[in-house]
Amino acid sequence: MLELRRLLDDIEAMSREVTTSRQGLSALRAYGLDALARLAVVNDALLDKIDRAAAEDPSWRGAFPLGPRLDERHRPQVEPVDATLIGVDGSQIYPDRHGPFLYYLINTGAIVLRQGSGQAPLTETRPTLVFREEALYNEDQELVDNRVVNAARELAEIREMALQATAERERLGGELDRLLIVLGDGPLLIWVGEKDSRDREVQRRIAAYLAELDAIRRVGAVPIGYVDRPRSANVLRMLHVAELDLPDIVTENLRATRYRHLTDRALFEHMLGPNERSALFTSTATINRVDFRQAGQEIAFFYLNVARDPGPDAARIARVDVPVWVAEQPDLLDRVQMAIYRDCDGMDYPYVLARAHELAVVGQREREELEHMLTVALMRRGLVPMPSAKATAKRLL
Amino acid sequence: MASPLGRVLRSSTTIFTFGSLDNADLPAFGALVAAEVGPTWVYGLVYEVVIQDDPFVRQVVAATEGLTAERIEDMRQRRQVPVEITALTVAYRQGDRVYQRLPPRPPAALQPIWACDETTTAQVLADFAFFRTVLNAAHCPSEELLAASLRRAAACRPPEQEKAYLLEAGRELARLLAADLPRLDAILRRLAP
Repeated sequence: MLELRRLLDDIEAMSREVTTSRQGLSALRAYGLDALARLAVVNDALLDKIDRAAAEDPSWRGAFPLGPRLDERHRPQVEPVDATLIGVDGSQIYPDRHGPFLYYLINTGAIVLRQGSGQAPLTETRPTLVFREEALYNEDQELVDNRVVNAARELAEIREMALQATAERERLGGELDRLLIVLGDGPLLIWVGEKDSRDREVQRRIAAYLAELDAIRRVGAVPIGYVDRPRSANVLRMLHVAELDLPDIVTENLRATRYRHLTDRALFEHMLGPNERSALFTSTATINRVDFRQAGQEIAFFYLNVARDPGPDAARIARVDVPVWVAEQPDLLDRVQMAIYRDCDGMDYPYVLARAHELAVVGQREREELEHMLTVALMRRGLVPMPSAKATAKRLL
Repeated sequence: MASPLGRVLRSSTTIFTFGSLDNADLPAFGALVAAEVGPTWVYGLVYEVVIQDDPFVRQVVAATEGLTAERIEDMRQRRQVPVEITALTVAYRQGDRVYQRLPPRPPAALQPIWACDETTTAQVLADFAFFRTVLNAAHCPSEELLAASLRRAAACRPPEQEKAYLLEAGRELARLLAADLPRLDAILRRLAP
């Protein structure tokens, strides 16, 4: 039970602090926009500084520009063409040690929408129940934690993206003219901690992920990682480094960024008009610069304003991840941007991702149904699964 | 009976509700539909079609700019919100014999529901004992339903028998509703071509 009246003072204090913080961020944003304009030209000195920062602190996540200017804004001038958009999302049920049985579940949802066809899209869900002991416990015989399930979901999502792209290309009879875009909800670059990146299991995971990206490329489809309301600050970290002298680029100074708590999104809300994208960058994360680059799948990103109305208040900034091999083809990138922008019409978010999420999500009621079915199946075999006393007590409340 | 219209969501002795994902091929008001229940076929008259909404469909409807044909078809054909159709049980068949009364058991959940062809409709609604079932159903628009089902049943007969069928039905209605002339009048007006 939450006694709201006991939080009244805290609520007041919080609203005061948020207001003050917003004012501070507004000044920081103005400084950041000014820095972006002042330091707009990409030169060797800037690139050296970024490389130095990445080498100095491998956990530093900056932006490495791919174009000649940092303040580039681009609205495609191409005529929109019909594309096929595939949206994929995943959800999970984490293992619950208080539940009646130990398992976890991954469910992916996919939708294939052919723009301009007038046809109902194709939809598919793919649930995977993981219940074998070797998959539920790690080498130390501990129950796997949520990170393991998240990694499994991430892999299931990229597999589904590859599977759907391959199937759709086959349905097109192998014809490669039709633009095929596969969108996932979230970054295209998987997150791996610097400490873990050389771990054998992590390397297997990276290899499996990269193999699916290759499969997508082989069928001539474009993989996209779409991040709505991004919290990333790679560009701001780069701007901070750009203002440091080369000898001053040490870990301590890298962390003492003036832009703390500001996001790239705040900058680009004030820079990008409807359907405008920012300059292209790559993340300096080691996994991107080593593993993904070596596999020919280094990930680039840009910011895109998917709003229809102009102005910073109306702006809806997304971060769009694409492989560098896509980023290097400006015409293709323009067509991809146009197709995504078109799919965001009416929602300021890709329709295919909203639907993929709806297909993938496992609600509480479905989870209860699943556990009821499991209970019945076990009872038929003479077992009576019971939740823990704690779980039972909680359900009574 | 080519393909099922949908499957049973819930049922009782007197009505059954089924879900359909196919918005394009919804049964008409007053149409006869059937479900197999063991050795019997249970027949019902469609009296309510409910197209549910949810927050997502509201958002799509509100965003008229992005309302492409693909999105409309997606909402109509693929979303997991089925159209709910409810039928009033009026008869059942056992072997070759049709009984215009409530069946021994209602259809089970997920049982397929079929549209009845003209021959079946004409056979099942040949007698008029089902009038009382419809007239006594407080939860449905009984006058409208009876008139609609009779018009359909008449149309399922050979043209030379249509008028005779409707006249016979009118006589039966006059007998049943002799004490309720406004109601009789309401139905007869709705029977007019």
